[in-house]
Amino acid sequence: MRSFLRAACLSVILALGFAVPAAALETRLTELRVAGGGIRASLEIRDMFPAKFQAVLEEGAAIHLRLQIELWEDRPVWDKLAQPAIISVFRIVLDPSTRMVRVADSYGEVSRQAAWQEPLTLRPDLGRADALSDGARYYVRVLATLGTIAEKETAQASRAVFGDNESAVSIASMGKMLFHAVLQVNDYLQSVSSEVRTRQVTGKDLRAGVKF
Amino acid sequence: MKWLLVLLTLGVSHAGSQEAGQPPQPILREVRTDGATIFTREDIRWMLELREGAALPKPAADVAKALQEAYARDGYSEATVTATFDEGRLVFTVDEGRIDEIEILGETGSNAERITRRLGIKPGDVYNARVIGRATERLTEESQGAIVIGRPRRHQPGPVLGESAPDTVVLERRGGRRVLVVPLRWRTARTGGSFGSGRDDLFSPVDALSPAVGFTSTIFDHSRFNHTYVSGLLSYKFGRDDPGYSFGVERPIFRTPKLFLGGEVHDVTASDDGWRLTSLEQTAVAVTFKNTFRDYYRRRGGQVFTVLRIGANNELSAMARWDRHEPLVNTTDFSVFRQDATFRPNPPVADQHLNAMVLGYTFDTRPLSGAGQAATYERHLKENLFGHGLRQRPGFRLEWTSEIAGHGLKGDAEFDRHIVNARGYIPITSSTLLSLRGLFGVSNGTLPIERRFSIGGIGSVHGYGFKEAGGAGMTLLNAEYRVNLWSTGRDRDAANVFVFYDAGRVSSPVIPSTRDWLRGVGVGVGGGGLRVEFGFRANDIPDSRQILVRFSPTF
Repeated sequence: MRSFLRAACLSVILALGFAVPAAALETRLTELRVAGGGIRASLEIRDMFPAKFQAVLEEGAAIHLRLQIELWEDRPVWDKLAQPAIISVFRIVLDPSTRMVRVADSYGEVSRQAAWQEPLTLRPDLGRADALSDGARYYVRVLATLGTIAEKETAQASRAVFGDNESAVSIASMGKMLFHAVLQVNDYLQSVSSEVRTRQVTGKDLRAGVKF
Repeated sequence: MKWLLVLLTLGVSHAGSQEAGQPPQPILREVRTDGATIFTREDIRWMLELREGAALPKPAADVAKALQEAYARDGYSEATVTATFDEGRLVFTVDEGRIDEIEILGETGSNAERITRRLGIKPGDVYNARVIGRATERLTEESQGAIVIGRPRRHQPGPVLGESAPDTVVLERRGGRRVLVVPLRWRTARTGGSFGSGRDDLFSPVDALSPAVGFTSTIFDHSRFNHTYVSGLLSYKFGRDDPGYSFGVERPIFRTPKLFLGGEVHDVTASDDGWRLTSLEQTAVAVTFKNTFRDYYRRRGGQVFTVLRIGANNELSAMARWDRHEPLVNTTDFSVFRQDATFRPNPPVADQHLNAMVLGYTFDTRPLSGAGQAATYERHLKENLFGHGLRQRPGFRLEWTSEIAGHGLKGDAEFDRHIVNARGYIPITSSTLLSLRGLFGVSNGTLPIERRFSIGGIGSVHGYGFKEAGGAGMTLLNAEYRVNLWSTGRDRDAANVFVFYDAGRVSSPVIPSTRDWLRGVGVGVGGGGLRVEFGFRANDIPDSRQILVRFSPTF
């Protein structure tokens, strides 16, 4: 009985560990180079519009793309985040009159293209180029999540219902936690994610420009 | 037939060009750029669908406008593009909008220079609204909200510009120069109130309901961000009809390294078991199922501390405490379920003065929180000598505390107790996390009962009873391997499954404990901030099954 249980647990963990994520979203970092004093990345995002998201957009609602881009310095023990992570949330809506999909963040529109046309190309700035050391090795990690609720909105909704206080342990914190959990679980059921990590490149190569 | 086909083809072509109503565009032989660094010539050709050898898709002015729009979409909103087309050669002349000078409004002298450095924008950079927006957001974040973008107040340094000052970041053209004007508005303080549990558990067997009203205030220092943090709490323990309070303040001095000075007076219900489970979990389990996983005592007194913060990852601290510890008995038998059960009796701690020096060191590969925040103040208080915080994010954290009681500080108790807590969170793949903890404790002298080391049960070794083994020293090793079912940036909340292994033993055991290793194994599922853990004693599977529902990870 004991050995059976152990074997069963081990099998489940191993199976899950090697399972391919079901997420359809595809993110590709195609280029890194230095321009205008900053490090510019070129990203291509595909498979953004599975049927469920097309339906959401057709109904007039928005979907949100959350991008977290991290430039890491490879070190022998603990890798170091070379620049603060860039976190951007893009709101994606469909204009029914023109059938154009508009992608915008808090600074304005970044893309407008015909419905369901892909890829979405983004060129974010990852930070100052003069922070790079020629001899150091770097890599970029991109986490993309496409969902129906932006994290900011869950926080806003939570604040609206339970108020805003600094304390981690208050009467409202239980309600907040459960409320947040429900929204998060709902979002997970709706969302797709992808993660990509580039190969390592030296600071010198990065300055010159690297295509992936 | 062949002729007919040719005629039809020509007819269609002719009709098409008539519909367009425009003369055919000339053939593009070459694309040149002048002043473009953000986009390469290849980028421009690809974006604007320009093919050398093919017709120019639209007039040169329209192509230039399209390129300027591409710049604007990427945040380079000050870029201007013109184009000329001559003998098949399309030449783009781009002024990308480089910043010649940076002017900080609302700060002068070295402060203005420091803020410019913090912004990370330099003359010569190309203006990008997104980059500047993120830089100013980071400045506000780094200053803890002391500085925001807005029209400067009248009392701020620099010329009084009043309503004429901009309230957003703008790139002004002065003569032939472009000046990035960053208006900064000071905030004097941030205050907040709370109603809830404060420092004590909201519900416990010794206090019953213990609501607290809290007040916090951060008084901002705009030059060095050495913000003063003030915290006050007033609670009432309905079970024993006693009020409780705590009032403290801390302030850093020096720019770098920062040296925090602080102090606190308090009368609180304390416990050495804060590392086993969170206050929220303890409250929930007590009020619903009449269970308790903490031993409590009353702590009255004061403490002063100093913390030297070296960089963003290291803190060295020294603290002197003058406390009186008093026993507390259970004062309630209320619970929503299990009404016939009784709470486990609270251990009778000795009523004595415990004066101690507490030395500590914290290293975290993930940056520690800064001045003026509740998290920083709470970490510096060292309420929990076994370690602070639960951050299951990739990184490593090492905490050491040494509590030396008696000796020069007098008091009734004389002992020393040393604890090292090392935690590592290693992402093996993008969706898996290996978490490891080593928690080690040693002591000398006679430990008071509330300072005794103990292991077993929630937060230590799964499958065993709460504090199944106790002694004058401890070794606890935990490992957890988690697989996220959804790969996401917010990985703590992601649905996941995990497997864990615990091993722990005590030294100099107190009867009936032994020096034997306790070993626990198990699996669990989690998501949305909840975890269900199925734990077993390693040598008694499945009879020793223990199911825990938790709102936080074990470590």
